[in-house]
Amino acid sequence: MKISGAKIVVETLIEQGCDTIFCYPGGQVIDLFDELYTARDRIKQILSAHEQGAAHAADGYARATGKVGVVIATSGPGATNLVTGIATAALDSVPMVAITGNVPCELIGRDSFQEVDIVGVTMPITKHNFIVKDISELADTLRTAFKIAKSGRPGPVLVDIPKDVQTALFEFEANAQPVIPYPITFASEEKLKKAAEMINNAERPYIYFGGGVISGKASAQIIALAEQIDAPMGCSLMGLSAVPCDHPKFLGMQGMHGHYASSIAEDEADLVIALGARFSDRATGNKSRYAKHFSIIHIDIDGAELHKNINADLAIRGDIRDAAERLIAMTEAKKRPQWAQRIEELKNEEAARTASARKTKSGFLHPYDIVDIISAHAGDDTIIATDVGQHQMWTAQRYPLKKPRTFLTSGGLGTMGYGLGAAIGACAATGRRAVLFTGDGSFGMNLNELATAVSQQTPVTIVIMNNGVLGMVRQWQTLFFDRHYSCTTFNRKTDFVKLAEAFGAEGGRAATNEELEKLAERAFACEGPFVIDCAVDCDEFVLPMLPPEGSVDDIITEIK
Amino acid sequence: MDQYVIGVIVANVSGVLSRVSGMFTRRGFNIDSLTVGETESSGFSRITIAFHGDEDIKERILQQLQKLHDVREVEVLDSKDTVIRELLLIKVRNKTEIRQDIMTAVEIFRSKIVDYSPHGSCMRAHGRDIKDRRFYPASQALWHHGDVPHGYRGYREGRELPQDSEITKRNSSAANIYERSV
Repeated sequence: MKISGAKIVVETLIEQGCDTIFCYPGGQVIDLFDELYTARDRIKQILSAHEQGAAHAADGYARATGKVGVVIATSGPGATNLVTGIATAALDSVPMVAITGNVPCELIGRDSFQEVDIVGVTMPITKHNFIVKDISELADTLRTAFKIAKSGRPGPVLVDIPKDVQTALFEFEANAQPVIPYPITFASEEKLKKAAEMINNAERPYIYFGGGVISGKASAQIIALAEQIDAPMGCSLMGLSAVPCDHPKFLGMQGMHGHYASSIAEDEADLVIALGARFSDRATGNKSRYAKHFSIIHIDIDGAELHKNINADLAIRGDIRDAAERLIAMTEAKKRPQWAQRIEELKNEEAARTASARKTKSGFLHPYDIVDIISAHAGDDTIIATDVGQHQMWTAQRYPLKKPRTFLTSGGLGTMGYGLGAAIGACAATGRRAVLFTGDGSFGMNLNELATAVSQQTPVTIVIMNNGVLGMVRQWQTLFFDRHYSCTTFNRKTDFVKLAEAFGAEGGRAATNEELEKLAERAFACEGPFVIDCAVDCDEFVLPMLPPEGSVDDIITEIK
Repeated sequence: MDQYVIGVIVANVSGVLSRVSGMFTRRGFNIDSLTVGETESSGFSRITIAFHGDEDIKERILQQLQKLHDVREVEVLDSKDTVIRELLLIKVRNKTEIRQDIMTAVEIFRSKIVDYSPHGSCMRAHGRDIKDRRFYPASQALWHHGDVPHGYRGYREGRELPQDSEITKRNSSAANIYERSV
């Protein structure tokens, strides 16, 4: 039977296992939304306040579940508003399909109303993108989009559908199954043997893992490998939550604002085993100084990552879970007591340095206390989302993450305003509670999604670390720019509690741990969003810090 | 810095040239020359790209190209077993006093006059790295107005395109044709 292009889109989405979409309607997708209306019992539709929020929500949905997130927007401004959300997903390898409407084919290229070449715009920030000008290709293009998004190293795919393709009629037959990803590449046996040999000969091996461990479902294998070869583990920001934070071999995040023990241990290692990580400048510091003392084994599913940022001594392309499993079989179970003892020393040193760096000012909450009090109320399954800035680093350093896919943060792109949308998406996907740690700067960027959280009754606790400044930039200005606080002091009078109430949510303000305790109790009992405005000192620093272009030699652990 | 010439077989779909050239721009690589044309199977085009770089840059370019969905195959055209030709159209002033010099240059370098008018004529030359050879300096001396280099076309000797059926299997197998040896 012939059905419309719009219906083909809806039926293909359902066929691909999509149960929820995040969307914002408009003129060139009105036909598609008409079909969505008919299908509203089969596919949940969440209307955001702004397309960017919808894109972040689809991203949060994907990160929390591993499934492909879907966002739908109209042509022109609707499509361009998705751009930051798509780029965020691209930089963090998140599977997403973005569907945009466009003007009818014959109006394309004439600067028609709300026309933009979104395929051209998003070419560098998608894994691939399509414009479908022929209805006979519509269903298969959408299927390919899903296939590309979830294959290998995941990523966003955009499909642009002109209005006349949505209204045209064509035969459609649903497939019984969602598309399966392209076959994965397996690491070569020979190279893995070489890797095992390097590991067996190493005295001080160190495992540096990234987000690939989460998307490759390799948490258990990484832990087993670390235990078998008695190696400490550190990770990039994207790797957080892959390994329970209290695992004795886990030292936490490394790099610019990473844990002291983690960064130093890596530097003292003689072999770094990088698994599903890409040696971002934020994780390595100065590249000419990095890796001076150690050899590197780099294993990644994406061949283009090998030798891209760092020249590895042994680079292996392959599925991370399979590679780790085979490495476990190939390496010797071995205790490295001297190395383990050195790691213990570093952990103790870190604890002492953290304690000594801590300063308390009355009238303000300490960021670590905020994280501790909130985490005491949350469960292991609670989704933790962040925005970008100081609060993000404090959360990354301190929050006791236990399970993969519970930590949503914009690592690669560093998108302020990411978190609220992501939390809404993750809650919609999982039905679980979420906590958003944010700053007054980041929250200001996309707080309109509070409207969505209220309409969806999203159980999200929004913790604003409010210091009245753009804290991370201010920190750099303090340390490296002679305290020229250029455009980082807000002088705003925003009352976040009243703001929450204005949106129909609840909220409260905390300046002491006791106040925060009480508010946290209320927040976690609340069925919808709850805003906690926490007073934080504007001169609280994120420590330790490797200065920009600096290395572990320049690590700052205390501001005198 | 060496010069490399690579052949990229791509699906003949709209926007594919943008994707390939855009990858170069986005990652900060430079293209010396680029030619594109349909292959004998109409679903595919062949893009021949010349660029300068070291071994590392070459590897990164090959890997990034492999990742593009529309790219079916990437091959480095090794000068040892590849036919590579550069095409150059050179416009020269058609002055009586240098006409003999033009004709001599055309004959010596086995090029051809492909246009002739009272004001100017056009010489066509093809060969490997024409600009580096004597023909180019010689023609420059002949009051040349400008040239239109057509870039390189390259073909691995005695090698055929993959069959359609092989190509449609794509990614998993095609992406493995080139893997860096470590």
